[in-house]
Amino acid sequence: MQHLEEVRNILSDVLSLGERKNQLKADSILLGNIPELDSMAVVNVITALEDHFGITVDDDEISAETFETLGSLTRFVEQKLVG
Amino acid sequence: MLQQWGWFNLGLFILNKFIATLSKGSWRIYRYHFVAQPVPAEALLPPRRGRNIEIRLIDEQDEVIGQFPRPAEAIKERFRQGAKCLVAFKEGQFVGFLWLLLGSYQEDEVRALYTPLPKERTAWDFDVYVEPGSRLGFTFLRLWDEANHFLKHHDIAWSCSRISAFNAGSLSAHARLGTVRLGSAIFFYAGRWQVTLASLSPYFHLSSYPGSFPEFRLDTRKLGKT
Repeated sequence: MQHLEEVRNILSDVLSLGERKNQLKADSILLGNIPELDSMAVVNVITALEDHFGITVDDDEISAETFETLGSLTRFVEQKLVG
Repeated sequence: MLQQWGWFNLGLFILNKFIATLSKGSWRIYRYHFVAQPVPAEALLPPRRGRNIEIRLIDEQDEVIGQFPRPAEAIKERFRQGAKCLVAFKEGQFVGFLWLLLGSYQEDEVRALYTPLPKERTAWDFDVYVEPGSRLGFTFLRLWDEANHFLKHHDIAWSCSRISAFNAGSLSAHARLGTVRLGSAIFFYAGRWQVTLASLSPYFHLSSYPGSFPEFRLDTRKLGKT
């Protein structure tokens, strides 16, 4: 996952994770584990990912599975970049 | 949990569990924060988001009420008080609701009356619910955008509400909406008695029957203009 670091940085910036950013690994659980990640934050994360990677994410593509871990979110971004 | 709640709330929560178990539910403790949030000029959602979620203002005859995870009597009482209910639907399916009241609200969990002030510029919002499967999506924000549209139409600048101190999710969600804390209250129930201790007037109240309750006048005038 070559974009893992970029996704981690975006997540950290949007959610203001501070030092907690360094604990985020590919298999780190996001939903339920990061209190800041609520529905309002999801909008901001998606918008930041769209702006940074030049991708477009439809409403129906946003799911709990996508946001389950940092790795699943990165895989989602990489699939969008390929597609 | 400690990080989110703090020692005081965690202690109250544990104490509540303890005495509720011992008394078989007749003794309980509630702690609420009273907050006000500005009605924003801009929508919370970008224009292209959440368009597949329809929001409808319903009346008390609407059949969707049967799907609400709330007692029918509580819903009836809300409409009796004049509350407005916005309901969210996704592909025709019920996914959430939000309640608003232009005026005073008689609490249904404890004995208390909340009066947002000034009346012509401040509303009361309560019981925002989103179905578990839709909590990651845009239902919450669509409900709020529609609620804000309704409030602006009625020239409302602030909306007050009470949030349980034991509900960290609701506290953080409200904080992201720009809420300002107005005060807090602890309600201690022991049988028919209710003791209220609050950080705002009337500060202390003792009640022994349902018709006796403290009134909290939540004044947003000092919060300035939005």
